[in-house]
Amino acid sequence: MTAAHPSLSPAGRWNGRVTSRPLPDPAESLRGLSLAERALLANIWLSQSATERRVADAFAVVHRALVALDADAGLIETAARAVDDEHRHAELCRLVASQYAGKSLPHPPLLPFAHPTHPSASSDRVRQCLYVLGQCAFNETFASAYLEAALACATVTYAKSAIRELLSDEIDHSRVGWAFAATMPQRERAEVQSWLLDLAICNLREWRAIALPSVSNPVVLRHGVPAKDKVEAALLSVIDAVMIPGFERFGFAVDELRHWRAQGAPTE
Amino acid sequence: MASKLFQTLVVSSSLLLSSGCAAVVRADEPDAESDVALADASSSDRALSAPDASAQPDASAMDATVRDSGALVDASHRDARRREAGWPTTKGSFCEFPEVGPSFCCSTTGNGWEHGTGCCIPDPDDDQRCVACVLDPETRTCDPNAVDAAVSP
Repeated sequence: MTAAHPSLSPAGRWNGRVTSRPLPDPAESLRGLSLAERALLANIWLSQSATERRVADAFAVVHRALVALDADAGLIETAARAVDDEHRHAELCRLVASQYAGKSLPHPPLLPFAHPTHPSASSDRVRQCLYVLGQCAFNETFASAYLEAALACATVTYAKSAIRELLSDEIDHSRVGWAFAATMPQRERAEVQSWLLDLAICNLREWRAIALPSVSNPVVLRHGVPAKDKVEAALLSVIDAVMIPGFERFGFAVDELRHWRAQGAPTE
Repeated sequence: MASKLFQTLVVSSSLLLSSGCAAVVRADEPDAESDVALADASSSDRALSAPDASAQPDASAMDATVRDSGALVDASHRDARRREAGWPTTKGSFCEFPEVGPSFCCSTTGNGWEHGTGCCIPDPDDDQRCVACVLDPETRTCDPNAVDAAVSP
């Protein structure tokens, strides 16, 4: 596990700053919200601060995997930076939550961290490959789809700016997985191939488990919290338009994924 | 939306590669030559081009290998693989839906743990504290009693 709340690295993506550019003045965006609505949105963003912080630990695992695999230096460097990115995300979400709350909020509690261990993988090398693909090509690609859906429903400038900051980083994190898929050693490819559907199921199940409003709440919608049906559509769409053609592009057989998707992508 | 993501995530992923595909290809691997060729091609114009499809491993050969390996994975193994939890998501659950978790429990010291809307924001003036619940992966419910054991101080 990485340090709980480390200082942001001056060598990080934005030289130690939380965002690429300052977020807009929140005053206009917060105008008209009731105290209850502000508390709800503060809760949502502070919860996300906790989950973003937890993903820093996930990228520490990915980074170690890429080093162990002697992967391309660019991927190793990006994964190392992703740890700092996720700490920035945690801080960004805490700052946004504080704006909604109207006061500076403390860091949320650390969430317990666990990740898949793939005990039946035939070797450590295969397991490390599965870590990279599972976290980056699957989980972060789903994250990008979620954020696109959030951005599509958001109309409030302040929230949109914060979501854009998150999305721009998640794209790079996902790319680590796709670039790794393109360059994966041949000796691990055959076994990893047999895991693709399993990784898709496990990770989609996590995204489907996220608690979201079952009906559109116009207030949280405007502030970038999409309804459950919109998120489900975005997750399925990214399987169709990114994951299946992505693995196919990089030489993996995708018949099993296509068949599963045609059945509605069941995860239970 | 999603087709744009394909371009952004998959096609442009080669932007991250500092030394093309050669870095992870071993000399004793059968496709080493084709991957070195890919590395040469991509290094010349890495920012603009995706990995050359012709330099990718032979998909038909892959299929044969995969069919062989797939035959070794019986149904019970695959079922176990699919039951495993995935990677934690970056998106939080909300306190207003504490039954799903992961979520937060709030405590006013001496009064025990309580779920509820607003519990993510402890009020120090009211001697409140806030800790993460522990998600029970089988019931997908939060267990506040497991908090102290599972969350690092």
